[in-house]
Amino acid sequence: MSTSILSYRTRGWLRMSVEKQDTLLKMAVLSLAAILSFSCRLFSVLRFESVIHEFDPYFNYRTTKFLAEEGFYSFHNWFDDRAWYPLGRIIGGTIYPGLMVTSASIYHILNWLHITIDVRNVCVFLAPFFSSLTTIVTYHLAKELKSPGAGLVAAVMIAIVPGYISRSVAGSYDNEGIAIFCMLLTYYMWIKAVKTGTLFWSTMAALAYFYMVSSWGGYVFLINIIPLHVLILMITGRFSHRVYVAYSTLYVIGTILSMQISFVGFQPVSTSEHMGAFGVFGLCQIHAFVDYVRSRLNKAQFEVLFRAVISTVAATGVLVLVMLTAMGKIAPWTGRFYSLLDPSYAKNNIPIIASVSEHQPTAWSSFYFDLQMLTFMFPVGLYFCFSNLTDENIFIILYGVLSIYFAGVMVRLMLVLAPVMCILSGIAVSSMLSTYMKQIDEVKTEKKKTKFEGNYFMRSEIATFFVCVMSVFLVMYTLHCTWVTSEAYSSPSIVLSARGHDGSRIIFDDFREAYYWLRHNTPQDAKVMSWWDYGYQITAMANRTILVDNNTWNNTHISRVGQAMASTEDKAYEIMQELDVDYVLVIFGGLTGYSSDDINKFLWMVRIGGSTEKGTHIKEHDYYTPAGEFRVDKEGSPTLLNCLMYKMCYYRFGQVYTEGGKPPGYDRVRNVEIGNKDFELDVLEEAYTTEHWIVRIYKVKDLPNRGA
Amino acid sequence: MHTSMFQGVDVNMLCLLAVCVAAAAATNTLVLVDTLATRETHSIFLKSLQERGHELTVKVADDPSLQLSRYGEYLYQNLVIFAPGVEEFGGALSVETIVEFIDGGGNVLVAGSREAADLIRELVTEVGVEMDEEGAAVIDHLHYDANDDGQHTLIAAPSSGLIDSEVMVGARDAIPLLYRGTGLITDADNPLVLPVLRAPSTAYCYSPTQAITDYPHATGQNMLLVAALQARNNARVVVSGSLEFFSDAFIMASVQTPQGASYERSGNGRVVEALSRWVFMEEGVLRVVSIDHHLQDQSEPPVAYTIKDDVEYKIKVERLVEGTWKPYVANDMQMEFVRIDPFVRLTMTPSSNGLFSVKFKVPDVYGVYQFKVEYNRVGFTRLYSSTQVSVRPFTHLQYERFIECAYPYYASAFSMMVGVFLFSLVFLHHKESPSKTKAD
Repeated sequence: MSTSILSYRTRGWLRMSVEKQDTLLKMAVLSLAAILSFSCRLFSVLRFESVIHEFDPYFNYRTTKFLAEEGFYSFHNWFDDRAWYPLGRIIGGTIYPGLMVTSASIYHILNWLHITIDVRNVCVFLAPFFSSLTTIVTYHLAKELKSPGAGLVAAVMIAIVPGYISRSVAGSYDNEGIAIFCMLLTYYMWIKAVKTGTLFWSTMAALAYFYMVSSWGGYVFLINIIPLHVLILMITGRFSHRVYVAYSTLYVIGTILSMQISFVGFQPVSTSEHMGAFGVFGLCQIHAFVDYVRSRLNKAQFEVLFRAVISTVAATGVLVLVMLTAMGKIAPWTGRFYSLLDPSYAKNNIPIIASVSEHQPTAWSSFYFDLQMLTFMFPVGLYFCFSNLTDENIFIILYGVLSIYFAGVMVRLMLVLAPVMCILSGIAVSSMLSTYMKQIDEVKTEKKKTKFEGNYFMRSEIATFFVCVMSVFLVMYTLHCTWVTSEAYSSPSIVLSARGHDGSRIIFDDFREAYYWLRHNTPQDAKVMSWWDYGYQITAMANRTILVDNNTWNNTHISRVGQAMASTEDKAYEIMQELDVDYVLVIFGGLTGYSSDDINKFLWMVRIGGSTEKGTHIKEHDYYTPAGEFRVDKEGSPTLLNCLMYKMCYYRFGQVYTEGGKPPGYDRVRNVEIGNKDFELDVLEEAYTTEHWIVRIYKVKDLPNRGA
Repeated sequence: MHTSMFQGVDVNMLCLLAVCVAAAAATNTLVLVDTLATRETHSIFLKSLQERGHELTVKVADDPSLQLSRYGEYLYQNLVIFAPGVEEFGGALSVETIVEFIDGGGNVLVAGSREAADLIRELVTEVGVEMDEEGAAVIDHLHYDANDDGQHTLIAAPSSGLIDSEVMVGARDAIPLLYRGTGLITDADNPLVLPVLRAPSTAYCYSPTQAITDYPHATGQNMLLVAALQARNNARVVVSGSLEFFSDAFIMASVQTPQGASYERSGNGRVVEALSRWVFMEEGVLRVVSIDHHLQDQSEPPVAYTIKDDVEYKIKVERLVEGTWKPYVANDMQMEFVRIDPFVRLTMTPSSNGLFSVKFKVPDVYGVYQFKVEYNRVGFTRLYSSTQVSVRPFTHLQYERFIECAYPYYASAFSMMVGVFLFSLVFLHHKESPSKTKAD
């Protein structure tokens, strides 16, 4: 019986028309790509467990849980008194709620359908799910730009491109996970709107833009690139009613919608970052009006009028802009934006921005690591776009060129570059393959017909060779992507793993050990001081009040903590008393060789601590040796060897043997024997140290009972 | 619920419980002496303690059966060390256990002398007081009693040297105090030590039999005769450099100063009585009974206050008077509303039932605040109370819905809407009419 069904099916397949086969094939490839993009992001879940990764995702998880349990209005009005003690933080007004709203809706819908699923699992699997959607949108976008074939190649490429996987593996529950989908969706809608010039697609683009605004601060990129596209179209003389309708609708509706996000508020009409879009909107109106006037006047009259109007308008415009900026009505550009334009800006001016590793300039090698063959296919794609210049191709060229610049400035923006790399490479690969495949086919058919050869010698062989080489490249790309995903981007960073001597996997679960210790052994209202990196995790996992966290909104407060860490015990005690600190938590890697510990981050604490008024006594050069080195061994500066951070990290460490053949107190990260071994803590007492000493918790002592 | 559980328990059990409660109510005081003769020489002091309800246990300081605690609970609330000569405590007693006893809330009265042993000196340094060198005595050639043997070590300290606190030393009068012993110096870094009795400005501390070759350690007003310490846990310690200060002989003695003034009785009796009441927590003890804070028109505290709320804060304080808690009334009690720095600091209005209250408006700054009451007065227990509350910003519904100055904008928005509507009507009809004329 089964054979008969099979044969029936086979016959059915054969009987399908060519269009149907085409559709089926496309559907199959696309759905396979979507499934692939979901499944290759599951390494970390399979290898460790279904946990939230890193730092920021813990905050997002906590807020999502709150939203799912308490409802939207209490989320919107949520004042969090557990973070930023004693300042507190208005969570509802200082986040992009798109991510939380998305997962809370998914959670509610699934539960309404009686698919009972935990909020945590929704959060863990949201990013992979959205990358599947991204795959589909990429197909449509590339299809609009070039052809369905290009769409399919781009879709498959984006499914596994490491630059995107790095931010969207299961458990990496962050804004970027859905923002890339929103961004590509907006682009798709925009391209559609530009192509059709209908209100429908423009409005859809505005809605997609709204979703993007609600989910990621990177929407600023979007609201600058679309006006830029319009501007280029105007300059190249491609401005048309379609573009006019598309942009005017998008700008008006999109701006009004984006102002509904309370974190964005009045920024779209008050900050310089959004002024470009506004200016282009004005230009659009003028351009349309000029076109109208031109159609009514003769050429000579028009020339005179045009010149007079343009010069007055430009002069007043510039004047008004300068005046508004001088009066402070238009906020000056924020530090993050400056650092986009001038990579050294942050380093020189704002230590808190420079201290984040993902704000560092990108190394050359990471382009290849994250994009592999796309790096080389990108210019080819650009070539094909230039060779057939249309409104929408200009857009993708712009997007590609701009994002490659930004990705070079900040590692984090590799994420924005990855999709356009995939699309352009998709176009390149598809165009080249279709050119050469045709030649293989042509030769087969032509051979019978005529000996009339083309311009090329051995066309068929060269074509075959080329197709083979291309296939090898694509296979290599696949292997590279899988390898990178598996090795580099699938570790949750909350659970660490290392290889033992015999090659077995050793798991360090110290973070959770410490957080659960805090949760179960400290008073409910205990205040924990730590460097801001661990803030979100402590609030989410230990449920304790913290002083500073990863939302680095208050530089002064972070600086105060930095000062406490960089001061001597007495000075630090004053600060800790002032801030009601009960426990202090430090991350220490000297025993295990975990290199991103607090001693390695310590210079940032010093810099940030010294960057405010109260911390002027903390000077970076005091923490260096006379030779200008940062060392924790005997040569190290006495200021460093006696500061609170050093003491908390190395308390009792001087008696510990870490490596065979080395003296006790041998730090395995810095690879030195520590300089100050025998000291006691006066104002702190050790409360807990985890199994591998990665997390150490100290309790702040009360004032002495009998006076000094 | 508990009473229902105990229903049916026999009467013996209840009696036992009653006995236990009674025993707990009495104050157990351990008195350590060098020789049991001290019981006789200091009988007035000890008797007054007994009369005030102290269960006295008098023991020799090197008694091998001494212990302060059993099974983790203290057997005594108070400790009197009238044993300046003891070289080594007996039993489980040591300087460490006594220090622990203080940190655990116990009160200690220590008296030294010229020949006080190292042990006592070590003990008093733990509470921020230093006794002068062995053999040194307080000497004053202007303030001595007529009964002095010529070395001028029997000091008639003027009562102006007493600390200005009625709670600690009783009502002020002009009668001098008799004192013979060593001088005390306090640790300048210790903010908790109180100078109960300062030496006269002409006094100094040196061995009376030796010629003075170097500058004395303790001189004049910097030297204390009696010092006190109220620890942060409110345990109280009094250190005196003179054991005789508490003796019957000094209490009953008459005083005659070289300046010619004479008094029938020394001031010692009164001061010793007051000081012992203070050190054993019979005087100057305050406690916070209850704290209450809420919005002015409500009675229950909210989960979080909102900025600019009108808040009422109440704190009930009681004072121990003759063994019973009575409402405390004072007009200098302040409340602070603190977020790192105090945003509000107000004096609370007292009432006759011990309830202090204050009404104020929460500042226009959100964050985590504390209601703080810190009441530190010399001689009284430290009152410290802090209650943490959150102050949140307005929710989206708490803002004004319509702002007056925005009326022109509302008007323009609505007129625009109407205008567009009318325009579209006109536009549509206008387009139709020419087509009609054409058709005609």
